[in-house]
Amino acid sequence: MNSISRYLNKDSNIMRLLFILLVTLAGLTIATGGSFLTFGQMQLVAYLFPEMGVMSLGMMLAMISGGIDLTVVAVADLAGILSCMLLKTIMPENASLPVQILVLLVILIFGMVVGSVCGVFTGTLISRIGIPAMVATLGASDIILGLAVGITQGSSVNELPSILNTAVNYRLFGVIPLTTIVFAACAGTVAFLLNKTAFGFKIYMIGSNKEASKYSGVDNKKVLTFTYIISGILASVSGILMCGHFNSARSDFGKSYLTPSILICVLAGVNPNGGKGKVSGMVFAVIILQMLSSGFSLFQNISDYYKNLIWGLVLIAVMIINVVSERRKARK
Amino acid sequence: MKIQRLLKRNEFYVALIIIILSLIIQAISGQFFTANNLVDLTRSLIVPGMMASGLFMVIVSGNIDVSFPYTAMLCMFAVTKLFQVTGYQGPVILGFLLAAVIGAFLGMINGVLAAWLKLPTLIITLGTCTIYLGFTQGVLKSSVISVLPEPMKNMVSANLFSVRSAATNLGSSMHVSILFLIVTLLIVGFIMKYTMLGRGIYAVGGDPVAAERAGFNVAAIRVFVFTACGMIGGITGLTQVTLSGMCQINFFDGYEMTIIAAVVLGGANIAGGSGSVFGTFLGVVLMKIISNNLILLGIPTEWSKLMTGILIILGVCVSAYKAVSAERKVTSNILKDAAGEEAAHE
Amino acid sequence: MSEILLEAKEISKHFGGVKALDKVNLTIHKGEIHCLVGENGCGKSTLIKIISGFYKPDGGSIYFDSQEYPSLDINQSIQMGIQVIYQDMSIFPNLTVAENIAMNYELYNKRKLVNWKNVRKIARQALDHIGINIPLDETVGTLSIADKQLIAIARSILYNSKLIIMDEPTSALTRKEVDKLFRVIRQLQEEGISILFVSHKLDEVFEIADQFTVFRNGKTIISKPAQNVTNEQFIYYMTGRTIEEEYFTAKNADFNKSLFRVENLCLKNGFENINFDIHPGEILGITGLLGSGRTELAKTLFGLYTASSGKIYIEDKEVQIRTPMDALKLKVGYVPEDRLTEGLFLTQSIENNMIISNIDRLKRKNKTVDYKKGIEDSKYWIKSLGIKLHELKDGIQTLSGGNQQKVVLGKWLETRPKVLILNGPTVGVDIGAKYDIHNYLRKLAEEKDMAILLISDDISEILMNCNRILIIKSGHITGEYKNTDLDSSKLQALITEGVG
Repeated sequence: MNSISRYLNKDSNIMRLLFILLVTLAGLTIATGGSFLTFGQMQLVAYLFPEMGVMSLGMMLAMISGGIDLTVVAVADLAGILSCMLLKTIMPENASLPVQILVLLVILIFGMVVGSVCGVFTGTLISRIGIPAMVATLGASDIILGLAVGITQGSSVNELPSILNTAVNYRLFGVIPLTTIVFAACAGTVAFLLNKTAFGFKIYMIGSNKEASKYSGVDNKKVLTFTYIISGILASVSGILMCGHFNSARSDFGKSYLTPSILICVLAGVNPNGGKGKVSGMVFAVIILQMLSSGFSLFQNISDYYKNLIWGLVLIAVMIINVVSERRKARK
Repeated sequence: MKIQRLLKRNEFYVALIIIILSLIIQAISGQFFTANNLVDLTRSLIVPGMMASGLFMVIVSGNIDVSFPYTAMLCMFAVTKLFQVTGYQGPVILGFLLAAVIGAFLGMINGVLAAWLKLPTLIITLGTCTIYLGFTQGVLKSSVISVLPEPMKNMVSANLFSVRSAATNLGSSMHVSILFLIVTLLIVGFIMKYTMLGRGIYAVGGDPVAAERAGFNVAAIRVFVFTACGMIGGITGLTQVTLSGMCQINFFDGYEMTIIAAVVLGGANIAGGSGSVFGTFLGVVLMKIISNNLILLGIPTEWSKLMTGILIILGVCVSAYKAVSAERKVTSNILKDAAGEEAAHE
Repeated sequence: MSEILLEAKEISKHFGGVKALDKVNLTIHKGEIHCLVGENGCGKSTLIKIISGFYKPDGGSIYFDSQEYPSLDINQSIQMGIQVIYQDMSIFPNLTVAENIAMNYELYNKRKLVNWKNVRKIARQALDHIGINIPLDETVGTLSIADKQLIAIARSILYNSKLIIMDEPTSALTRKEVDKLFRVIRQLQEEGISILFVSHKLDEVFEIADQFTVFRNGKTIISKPAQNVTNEQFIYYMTGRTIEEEYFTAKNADFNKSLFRVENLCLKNGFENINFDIHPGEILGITGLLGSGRTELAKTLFGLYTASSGKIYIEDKEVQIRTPMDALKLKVGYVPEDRLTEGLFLTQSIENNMIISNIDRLKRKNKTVDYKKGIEDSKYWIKSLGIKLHELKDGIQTLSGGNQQKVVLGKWLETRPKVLILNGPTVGVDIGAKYDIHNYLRKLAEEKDMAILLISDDISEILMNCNRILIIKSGHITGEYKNTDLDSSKLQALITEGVG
């Protein structure tokens, strides 16, 4: 009896998110007269959510550690641009499929290296130089994005070899989008790191009390730097997915993802003050958000602009609900 | 003694850098100390200078606001649209009042949320700024207004004086809205230095618990700084219209970054509790001199974003690193006490 | 007897399930110096916060000048003439001395504007009043703790105060400064101001107080004039038991072996030429005033500060402790001074708090963490330290201060240290847990041959539990004593007056 109630209590956040998910699904289905709940729509959601989702996982790690990573968007853009430029340069003409896939893997790894270099940079600013995460990532984001703008002179990298777009649009057994698989792999890795490794444990503890973790013999600097490196790698993966989706690379692709990625974290129950957050919550939150996003686009009369308005309102509303419910719990 | 205190002040170093930089630019181009360049530079300080003085108060209180450029944008479109729709022909000052009220209201939303939720204000204002952006785009359906209503149009050409450089034959005019900047700086400076409210803002930024014990209303101070920042943002939005003769949605793109950079460069501690309006103003001047003269300094405009990033990081690096290394050191000398006491015994 | 100024009647206050105050009474007369004494965690601070309007009581009421108030708010309390000098002094590190002194006063006078000339004048007068000279334009953050304390005192006497509450005002002061403070207090008394002086130092209570009240576990134990009471009675009132503790003598210690030795250790601005040697089975005590360098020494030994010169040996082998990670590897543990900020992860579970320092040792071959083993280990320490809890998964915040401190201790014991450094290990801990911790430390020394370094300003704690005691003053060790050669008043005198 005790264990059941505890289990429910422990996962009350997941139950709540599941409830919101079902309500969203039902609401959109009714509002669209049934056209939302179709196989095609669901597949579209599954195809699109990973771009935002993978990036948000990095944001989550930074938030659990008590910081924030505002560079995710910039890293995604820069990694996307550099990877696409490399892809164009090294892809041989009329290459066979295996060669093409090999090249694709090379640029994926290259993109991740770019992401981790950015991560080392921001991580060092935060952990070793001691700049507050917010300012450090704000500044680093300008530097990284500045590089992206400077390199491309503000224009886009076009005429990419078709393999990237083909790969991103690939569906396993004709059903499961490759992007979903990439997200699953990233989410799985992050969940493993957080739940099974000492590194993950330390991120939570640093997020709860940085001072106490130092006094407990934890190498805060190393753990924090590594956190931002992983965040950078995840952002770069998300950047490459975006490039595949749009079949080009630009320095402003990721721009609109910053607020949603923070929104996803807050919705998922990640505490902006650090120390709390789970991958399972993130999965639900990102699917809910993508459903809303895709749902809106079904209504012709709602312009894209309203999306911003709604994201902002939802973010504030979720924060209010989280804080109010937590305070009520604390009073009990 | 006086000189020693001057050397301790951050403003001194910012001013020094500004002087050196302007001398370098003068040496390279020979055009820095021309009348029209100086007027142009001053003119370009108006909008960022006003915004920075608003943000300065927020930062001193230990908070951050990234929504003020969007507040400015929303006020700019809302007021211009309203004038357009109603065909208003009266004095333009009503527009500024309106913008101030709307801006103050939007800022108050930030302040109330910050005081109530006690969550990082970066995330709160990131949320509200998205709302303000969405509202401008969606509800006001605005991205460009190229023909301004009469009262504003008249103000566009209201200049205090004009100058012309003999050498280049380039002319520039000093717009009347420079007065707004001066007044804003003076008021903010007065509030911060000579009112209990202002000292309360410093106190909250230094130690919120101690401030509460001293009898400051900490929640009210939080609401005030955000409201004031929003109000200044609103006025700035309209000022921008009268400077450029049109409304454009991308006027304030990236301003949240550059203004934060300017305030931090001007010596305000990002964690709150220190800084001065004068320093903030110098920070803005430095930022503008750099961004206006990027090409002269041999940096192509595409790299200007990179420059702001580097400036922010450099601006906070020194003080952050000092704080980190101070953690590993004993700052007030324990040993000296002993020496002093022994001396006293003898 | 003069009129009653303040009377707190039957005040109760709960925090969650914990009863902090249980119908306590306190009566202060006009112009009286009243000492409120009690162990840490007895409810003194809670009552102060209720009188100053920081907390609302759950029951009872406060009478001030014969008027009844069910509760107060901060401004009301200040308006009525109540001033509190908190232990943390509540000063603004980012502002100047002048402003720190004058600001609260100006606020109290409902000023809207700041007249800087006036601010300096007020500050100068306040400092002159208590006869102290500190530069007015100095930023307070750069001053010493004693100076900060004096600034806080100068600030409080500006008001038209009727009652000044001082929460442990002498903890950072040298004897000379204490004398100065007492002179100021008596001067204030002559001006008709009542003082509520919170302390746990007996000699001070006898020296300054007209009347004293003792709290224990949130209850009023006794309130009577300070003249007619003996030391022993006093300790009984405070602790609820006559102290039957034996002096620790390190009877199992091996004085031929050196376990932890420090040679000529120096820290810039912190301390100079520190030398000591702890043998296995010994508890070495280091005591001194706040700001004497004791905490700096502890932090240096644990790698939080970098020593400027000197050597550290563990089992006669020279070691480098540059970071806490080094200390952990070398089996040196550190129970920090400030439990809440340095010891505990308040939003985490008891279990997580227990295993954090040991997490790297819980790794399996495949790099994953064996949490099950972590739970088993934690259970062992919970049993042997007698930590009372409901479940390991519960938040650490559900525990009492004493049990929380035992968790911090257990965390370090699980790392199997050879050397254990404890800095104020029983601050804010109830008496029961305090004796548990003391007994456990003795057991560790006697049975596990550990070298224990106990740093504290709790005289009886040091005296009872350390077979050797070093006194540190202004960053220098001024003497070494056997605990059996000292008693509490001798030790107190040594600490405050120094030697030689």
